[in-house]
Amino acid sequence: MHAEHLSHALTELENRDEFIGRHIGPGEHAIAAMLASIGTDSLRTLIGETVPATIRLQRPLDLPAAMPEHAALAALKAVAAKNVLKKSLIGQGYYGTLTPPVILRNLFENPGWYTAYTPYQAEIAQGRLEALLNYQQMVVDLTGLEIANASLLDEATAAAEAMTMARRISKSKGNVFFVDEAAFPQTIDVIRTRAGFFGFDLVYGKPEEAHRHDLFGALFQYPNARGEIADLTTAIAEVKNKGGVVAVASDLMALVLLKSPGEMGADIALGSSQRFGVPMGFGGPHAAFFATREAHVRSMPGRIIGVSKDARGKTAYRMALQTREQHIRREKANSNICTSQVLLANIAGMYAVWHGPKGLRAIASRIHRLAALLAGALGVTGRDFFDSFELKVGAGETAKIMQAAVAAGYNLRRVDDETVGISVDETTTRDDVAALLKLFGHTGAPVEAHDAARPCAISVTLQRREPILAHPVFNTHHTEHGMLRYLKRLQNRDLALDHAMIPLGSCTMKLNAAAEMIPVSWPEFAQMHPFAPLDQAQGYVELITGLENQLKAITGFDAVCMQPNSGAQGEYAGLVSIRRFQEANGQGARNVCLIPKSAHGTNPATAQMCGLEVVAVACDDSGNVDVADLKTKAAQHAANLSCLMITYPSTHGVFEESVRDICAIVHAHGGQVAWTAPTSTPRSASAARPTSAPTSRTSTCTRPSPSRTAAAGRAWDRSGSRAISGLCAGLHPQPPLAGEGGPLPLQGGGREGDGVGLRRPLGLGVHPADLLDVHHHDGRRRPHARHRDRDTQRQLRRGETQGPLPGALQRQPGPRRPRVHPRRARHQGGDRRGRDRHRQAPDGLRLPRPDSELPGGRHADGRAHRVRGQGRARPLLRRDVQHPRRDPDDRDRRMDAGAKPAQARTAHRGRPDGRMDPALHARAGRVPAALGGRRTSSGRS
Amino acid sequence: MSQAPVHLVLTVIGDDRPGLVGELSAAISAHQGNWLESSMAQLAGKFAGIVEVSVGAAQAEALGTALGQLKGLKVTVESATLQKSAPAGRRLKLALVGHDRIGIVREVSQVLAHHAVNVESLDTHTSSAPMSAAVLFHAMAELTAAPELDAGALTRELERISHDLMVDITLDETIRV
Repeated sequence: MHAEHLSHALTELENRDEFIGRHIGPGEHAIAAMLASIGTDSLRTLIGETVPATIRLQRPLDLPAAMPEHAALAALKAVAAKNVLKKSLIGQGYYGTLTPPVILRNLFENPGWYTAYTPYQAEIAQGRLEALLNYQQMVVDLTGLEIANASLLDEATAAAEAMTMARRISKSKGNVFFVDEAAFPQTIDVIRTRAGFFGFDLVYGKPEEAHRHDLFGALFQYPNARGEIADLTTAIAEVKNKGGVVAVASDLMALVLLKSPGEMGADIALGSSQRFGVPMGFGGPHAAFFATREAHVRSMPGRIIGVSKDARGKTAYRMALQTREQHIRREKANSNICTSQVLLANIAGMYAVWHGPKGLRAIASRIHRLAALLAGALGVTGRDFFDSFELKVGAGETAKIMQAAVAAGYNLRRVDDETVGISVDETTTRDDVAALLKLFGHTGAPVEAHDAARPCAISVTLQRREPILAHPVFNTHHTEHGMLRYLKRLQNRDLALDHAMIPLGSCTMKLNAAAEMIPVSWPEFAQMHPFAPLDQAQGYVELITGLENQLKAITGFDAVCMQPNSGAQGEYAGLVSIRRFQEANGQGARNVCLIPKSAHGTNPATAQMCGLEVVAVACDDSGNVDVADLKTKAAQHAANLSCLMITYPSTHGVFEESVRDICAIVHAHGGQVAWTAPTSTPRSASAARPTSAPTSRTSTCTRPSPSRTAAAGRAWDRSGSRAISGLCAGLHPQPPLAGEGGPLPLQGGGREGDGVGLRRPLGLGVHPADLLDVHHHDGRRRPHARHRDRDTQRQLRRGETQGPLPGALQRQPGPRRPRVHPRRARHQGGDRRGRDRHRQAPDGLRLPRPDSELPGGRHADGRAHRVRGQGRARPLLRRDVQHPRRDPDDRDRRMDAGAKPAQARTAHRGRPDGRMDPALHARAGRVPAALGGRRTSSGRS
Repeated sequence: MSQAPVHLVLTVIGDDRPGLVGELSAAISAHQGNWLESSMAQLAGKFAGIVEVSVGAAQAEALGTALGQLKGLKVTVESATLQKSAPAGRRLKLALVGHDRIGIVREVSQVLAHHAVNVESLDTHTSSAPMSAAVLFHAMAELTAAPELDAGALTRELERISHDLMVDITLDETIRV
C-alpha cells in the first residue's frame, strides 16, 4: 500500500492538477454520496440533466493548462517583475501611503476580514459593522457634515452619485450641473458619461462663477487638480441662494489640516479614502467616502450602518435605512449601487484608529511641510496648497525634466509643455526632497536650512479650527498589542467564510485560495500609480490582457471591459454600450428595456440610470421568464425596444430552457440582450457559454466576480467584468489609460480590481469545479443545495431525497445515553428527573463548555455548578440580582430621581452642637431617671 | 320614463366564491336597475365592494328586498347623495414603503387629515423585504387636496413618521402614465 506511489508515472507524481483537488471540497466518497442522494449516477449525467442541451458547450474551452500553486506564483512573480516601481508623485486622487503592518497582516491579509459577506444578518456581523461605524464617524468628523455612508466604489462614481442626488434634493428647476474645471480628469469623465444619459447640461468653470448659471447643483474640488485650495464659503452660499446643491470633492488627509466642507456650507462631501493606508494598486479597488446632512439622508446612495438595540435592549449595529436601496426601490432607487468597498473602508477606518487625531495631524503636517519646503525652494509662491503644486519649467522643458526624474526614480505629473506637477505623500522623505531639489538644479542649502523658517502654505483662514476624532476609539488602540487585540475582538464577533459556509447566495459560494491572495500584497502590484507611464506597468498590461483573453475564451464574446467596479456597474457598462451602439446606428430613440419581474433590483435601477423605460416581463412561479408575455411586450414596444436584461441562471437559480427563444424574440424586434450572470458563472460557463446560446448578434454579458477581486469581503467588493461582442466592441467603456480618444469611461481609476484580481489558470477541458459547482448548487436545474431538513416552504424542488447522507458527512444520532449526575444519582435513582436536568445538546452537536466551569465539577465563582433555578437553560444572573435587596420605601427609585439620601435616625444624627444628650451620659452603675432610676443625692455610689 | 331614477349605493361583502358578481348583477337587472360604477376586491378570503346603481323609484324597494335575500352576500343599501362637481383641487398619488409596524396606517391617515387631504383610494399590503426578510409595508393612495397644499411639508411630515419610511408624492402636473 505504501509502496504504490513508487509505481506511478512521473507525470502523476508531479501532480500538476493538485490545486483542483484542494480547491474543490468534496472528495470521491462525498461526491458519490451526494449523487446517490439526488438519484443521479454521475456528474456528466447531472450536467446533462441540469444545463439545457440547447446551450451546452460541446467542446473544451480554449484555456491554458493547469499548474500547481508554486508554479503559478512563480509565473506571477515573473509578470510582476515587468512592473517598474518608481516613486510616483503624480497625485490626482492617488497617493503613496504606508499601511501600518499590524493592519496589513491582521485585517487586509486576514481571512476573517476578507471572506466576510454583506451584513444582512447583523447578529453575525457586529465586528465589521463596528469597524464601518468607525469609518463613518471618521468621515463625519473630517468633512464636518452630519451623516456618512459605508463607502461608495470610487471618487469619480461618488461624484456622479452626488450629481444625481443633487437633482433629487434640489428645488431648482434649472438643468445645469456646474463642474469645477479643476476637478480630477477622471471625475469629469465619469460625470460626463452619466450626465449624458440623464440629460443634464454640464458647465465647467471656476467655483466663483457657478452661481451665474441656472443650476441645480455644483461640484467643487478642494484641493483641486492643480493642488490649489481656496475658501469656497462664498461660492457655496451663492449657489445655495439659487437653490442649487453643492458637493465638494475632497481629500481626507488634507481635511485633517484644512477647514472642512461642512463648515463652508457644503451639502455633500465626497472623495477617496485611499490615502488612509490603502495601497494604490494601479487604481483600485478603493473606498470612496460620501457624507451629507441629516435632512438629505433619504436621498443618499450606498449602505448606511446604524446603531440600534437588540432583543435584550443592548446596543447593537445593523444596516439602517435599507428602504432607500435598489433591492426595494428598484427603478425608483437613488442609485443602482448594491454594495460597498468594505475591506478598503475598514483599512482606512483602522488607519485612523491606529494613528488617532494626533498621529494624523503629524502625518498631514509632515506632508505639508515637505511640500512647502520643496515649493519654497523651487520658487513657487503666492498660493495656498496642501500637498501638490505646479511648477513652470520653461517652454518645452517638460519632457526633459520628466525623463531626468524617472532616471532619478520619480514620476512627476505632466501638465503641459512647460509645467510639471508634484504631489507629496506620506511616503515622501527628506531625502526625496533633496533629490528633487538636485534634479531641478538647486544644490544649495540642505533641507534643514529650508525647514528653519517652518514654511507653511495654508493661510490661517483655511486652517481647521475644530478638533477631529474625539471619540475614544480613535484615542485608545495605539499600541501594537492594543490594535491587534481590538482587530481580533471585532473579528471574533463575525461569521465569515473562514468559519463556516454561508448559504445565502452565489456571492458566498467562493473562497479565494491563499495562493491567490499572496500576490496582492507584492509591492510591484500594490504600489503602482494608475497614471504612471505605461512602459513602467508592462506587467499589469500583460496581466490585464491575459485575463481579457481568458474571459473572451470563456464567454465567447469579442471584447472585454475590465473597468466596472461591481456587478451593478458592469450592468451599467453593458447598457451604456448597447445605447451607444444603437445611437451610432441611428436608433438612439430606442428607450424601452424589458426586465423580468424576478430580476435583482439593480436591473431596473441601472436601466433608469441609462435613461431607459422599464417594462416588466412576467415570470412564472419558478421564476422563469414567461415567453408568451415577453413576445407580447416585445411586439408592443418593438419600435422603441432597446434591450432585454436577463439573468442566467435566473435569480431563482434555474437554467431556463427557453433562453435561445428569448434572445431570438428580442433580436427579432431590433433589441439587444444584456446578459447578467451570477457569480458562479465562470465555473458553469465552461458547461454553457452565453454566446453558444443566444446570439449571433450583439449582446453583452456581465458577471460579478468576487473570485477575482480576491482581497475583499465577498460581495462587498467585486469586479464586474463585461464582455462585449464585436459590434459593440469599439464603444464599450475604456479608462483613459487605454488610449486617447476612447469612449467615455465609467470608473475613475484604472482597471478596477486588477491590483487584486489575479486569476489562476483553469484546467483543460471542462473544469471539474464547474461540474461540481452545478452539483453543489443542485441537480434538476436549481443551484441551491437540497437537504431534507430545509424549510419546505422555500424549497423549489419537488420530490424527496433518498434519506440522510452517509455518516461521513453527518453525525448519526447515536443511542441516547442516560446522563447521570454523580451527586444526585443516588437520590434520583441514577437518572435525571428533576427540574434541573442537564440540557441535552441537539442531535449531532456538542455545546461548548461554559468558561466558568472548572474541572472536577467546580465553578469558577466558587459556588455550586448547578444553582437552583439557573443553568444553561436560563441566563446566569448574579447573586444580588437573584435576590434583590428589599426596598420598602422605594429608596432606589427615589435616589435615581434625585432625592437626597434619607436622614439617619434621630439618635444617630447627632446634636447640632456636637455634644451628647446629657441623659445618655454614662453613669457608673446608676440607671438614668428616664428609665426609672432614682436620683441619688449623694452623688457617686 | 315616468319615474325619476333613484341612485343607490350598495356595499357588498361575502365569502369569496365564483358567481358572486353574477348573482348581484342578476338581481339588479331583474329590477331594471342600471349598474353604474363599482369598485370591488377580494382580500383574505372575502369579496367586498361598493356599487352605484340607478333604478326606477318604484323598483327601488323591491330591489332592496331582493338584495337582502341574496345568499352568502351581505348587502347594505344607501341612497347616493348628489355629487357636487368635484372641487378644483390637486390630485396626488402617494406611494409609501417602510418597515411594517403597528400604527403606520393610523399615523399616515392622521398626517393626511392634518393637511386636509382627502383619500380617494388606498391600497396597502405587506411583503417580505428582499435580502433581509423583514416585513415591509407598501401603500399606494390617490388623494385630492386643496390647491394650497404644500406637498413638501406633507412629505416631510410623512417622513417623520418613521425614519426609514420612503415617501413618493406625484402631483397632477407630473403624472407618469
